[in-house]
Amino acid sequence: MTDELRQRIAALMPQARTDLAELVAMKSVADPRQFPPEECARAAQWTLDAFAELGFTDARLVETADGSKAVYGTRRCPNPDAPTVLLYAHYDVQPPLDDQAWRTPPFELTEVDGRWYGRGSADCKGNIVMHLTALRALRDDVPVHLKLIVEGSEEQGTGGLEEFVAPNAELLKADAILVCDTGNAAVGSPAATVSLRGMVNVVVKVESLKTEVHSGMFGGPAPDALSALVRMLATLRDENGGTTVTGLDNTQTWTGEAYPPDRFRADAGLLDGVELLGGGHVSDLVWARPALSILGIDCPPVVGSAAALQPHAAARLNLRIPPGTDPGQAQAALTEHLKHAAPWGVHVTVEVEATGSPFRADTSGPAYAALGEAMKEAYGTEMAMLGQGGSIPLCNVFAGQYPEAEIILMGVEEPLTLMHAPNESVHPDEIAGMALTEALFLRKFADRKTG
Amino acid sequence: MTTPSFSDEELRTAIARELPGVRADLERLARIPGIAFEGFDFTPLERSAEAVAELLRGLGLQTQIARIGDGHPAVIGVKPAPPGAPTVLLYAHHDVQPVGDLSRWESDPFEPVERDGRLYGRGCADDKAGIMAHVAALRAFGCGTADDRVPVGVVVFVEGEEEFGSASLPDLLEAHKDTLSSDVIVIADSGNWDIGVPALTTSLRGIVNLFVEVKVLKQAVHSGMAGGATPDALMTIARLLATLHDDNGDVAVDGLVSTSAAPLDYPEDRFREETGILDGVELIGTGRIVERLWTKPAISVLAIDAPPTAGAPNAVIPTAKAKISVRLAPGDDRRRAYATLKAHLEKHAPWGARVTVSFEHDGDPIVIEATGPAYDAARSAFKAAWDGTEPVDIGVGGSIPFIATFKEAFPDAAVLVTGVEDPFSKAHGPNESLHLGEFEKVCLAEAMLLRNVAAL
Repeated sequence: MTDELRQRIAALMPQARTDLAELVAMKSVADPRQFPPEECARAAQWTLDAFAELGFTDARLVETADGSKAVYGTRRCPNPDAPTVLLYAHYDVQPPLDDQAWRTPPFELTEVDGRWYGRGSADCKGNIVMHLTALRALRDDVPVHLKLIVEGSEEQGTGGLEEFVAPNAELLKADAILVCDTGNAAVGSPAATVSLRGMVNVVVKVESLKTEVHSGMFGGPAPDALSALVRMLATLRDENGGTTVTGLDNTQTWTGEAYPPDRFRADAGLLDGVELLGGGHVSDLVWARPALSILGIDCPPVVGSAAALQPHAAARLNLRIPPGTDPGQAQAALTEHLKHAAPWGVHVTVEVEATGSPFRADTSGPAYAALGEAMKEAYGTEMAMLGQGGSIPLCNVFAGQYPEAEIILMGVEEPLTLMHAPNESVHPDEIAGMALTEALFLRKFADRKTG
Repeated sequence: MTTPSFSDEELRTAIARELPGVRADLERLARIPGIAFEGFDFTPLERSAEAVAELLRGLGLQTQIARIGDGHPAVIGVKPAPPGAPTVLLYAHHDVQPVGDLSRWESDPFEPVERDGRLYGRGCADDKAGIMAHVAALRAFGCGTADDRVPVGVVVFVEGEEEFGSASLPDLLEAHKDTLSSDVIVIADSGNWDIGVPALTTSLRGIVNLFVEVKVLKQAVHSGMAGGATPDALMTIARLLATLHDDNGDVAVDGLVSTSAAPLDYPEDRFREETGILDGVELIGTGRIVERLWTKPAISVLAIDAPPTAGAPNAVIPTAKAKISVRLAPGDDRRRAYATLKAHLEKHAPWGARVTVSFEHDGDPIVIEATGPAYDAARSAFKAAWDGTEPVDIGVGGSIPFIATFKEAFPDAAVLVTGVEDPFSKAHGPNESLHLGEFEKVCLAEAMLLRNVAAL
């Protein structure tokens, strides 16, 4: 059974590549300030048509709270007692960011050294193609009831689909939910992601003067806002680089599969000689502990800057929080910490932009058992349990709405994909391997549920 | 000394007569956005040099536009000395600072406008009013007219790249040494102690501007995926920059010079008011305010290259660059200070980050020994122009690197650092302005100074 599926998938890979190239060519960044909304509309329609062809005869677009449209559809199987599986992905992508930094055109799927490059090639259009390939390989023999939801604004963090779930709970209800927006431990090393960090994003603003003043005439006694901000930000990490937000535990440890430090260095692209931070194991630091990053600073850019003390400055901060930490508590702790760290009586305001809860999957049910078997058969190695430093707020929504459902995070986004950065890519073997995993999973899960 | 000397009253009348024309010419100059900073359109500098040259030609000066290589245009105007009279070099600059954040200007920076007795616009004080003070003083003596009674030889030297570090100045002085040679040098690019209190500037801090860049990653990575174990360049540079001050806000770089300042009291309230420090915000550093301003080093972070907060993605930033300005106390050495800063930044780079320190520009600090007949002549002129108020000797926290260049080029000349700025001028900031009442006194004082110097 496995070999036959494997062969079918191998034969389906040229089509997978064609499909992915078509999808990547659509600049479906869900931000009309950057790209025309028609790009998203085309990607949605393409997705709808592709799944409609595979038996999702009721496939349609549903509008979500942020105005984005999700592709929804169902495909019943003949056995009324069969379990229901919800397949998730998203068709919108991150903006390409720095065009100069791309080595290939961001919206043109391009093969280099065995990987396929392009924005969205992994995150998450690669997962759409993985779903398609798995279903094509199974042909008419899909032993579960399927539901499909492919959302259109995941990367914007505007929560369109998250808002959609509660009022449309019946539409999406399932026994297992495949949230396909993560990836394996490495190419060829199968893994489920069972823990996600939450996050708190804030903008901290500092004011010290009414206006810019000459740095020579007034520099010395006059406190400039940029120096004050820099001192505040510096308190958020200690000498070892551990995140030090007063009131937040930063000593947790990760108990699942370890993230090998050398591989992390390569995955993150650390320059030679640059140290890994935090004084713990990499897995602790990226999956089990809080992490504070500075995303942006408002102040004059170097070119054209005048010899002036800055009256105000601001920074956008991203605090990742592990399972077990409440976002409300983390937000309060960060705000308090910043206000306390402000030197020289400077005026500080902290504005919370977004928060998301951390997530931990319950891995004790039949879906996880089926997945473990599927991965073992597809890859020949045991499934690992990974954490992920990033947030997928939808998982918390699903967990809250469907407490009985098993939520599985998997997909083609292994660490080398560089999703969210320039030069995003996918490894075609991961599309093939995960499509096989998915097909096997659907069969095995049906077997386990129907005896 | 055959020319009959002007009385104070005659000069006062003459300046009052010339002032409307001087004001109109100042506004004309201030409409030209001549900025010598990298990345700006330099053609306005050519226009402002030409406008200055026209003013000098109008005074009958033998005028030329001079430059070194690709440098920006300076203007030199010469009027030979009457027999036996000394020659005075009058310095100012016609380039201006960039305007910075336009939204913070209450009126168009390049359309001068008067509000409450002040003339607002970029360069209205720094330093186009310096140019016009020279022009006003010469016009008061009928310079260039049939009744020309200027009592001294004059060399007007108006530089075109002062705000960007005066890179060509040493070569300009060398190339035109004979033309520029003079007995007294008046540098009108500083200011007075207060409205109503004139000053001679006798000490200036030096400056070292430098860049520091940190690199930690090959490229940006997702902050969820990598945040925690990966240094972000912005945090790295924040921790590095935070080492430049201690908790009091004093400079924490070992090896920079501090000295003591004149016994002038700069009341904290006045400093707070002039600087626009918000309520509840403390002054930083320790020591008397004039020491912190004039005779101790100061370090400011002027700029950081970073994504703006609006729209910054959830990404760990791979590189960041900051511009740092270090003000040096009199007695310090710019080259040693740069080496000190560079070593400090390299030594304190956290987490193995790659740090590159690079130089932008510098200038040595200056102390002027302000004694002798030329200084007496100046003080007497100031006192008369300010109706009996004695001038004070002040320091300046800012740097005018070229003063050292002048001192080196003309070691025998007396250097007088004067100027049009008052504590509210906001030179370099938004809403730069000139106090018009004080400007008239500055013009009058300079005319009196020329008269007094002629009598030496």
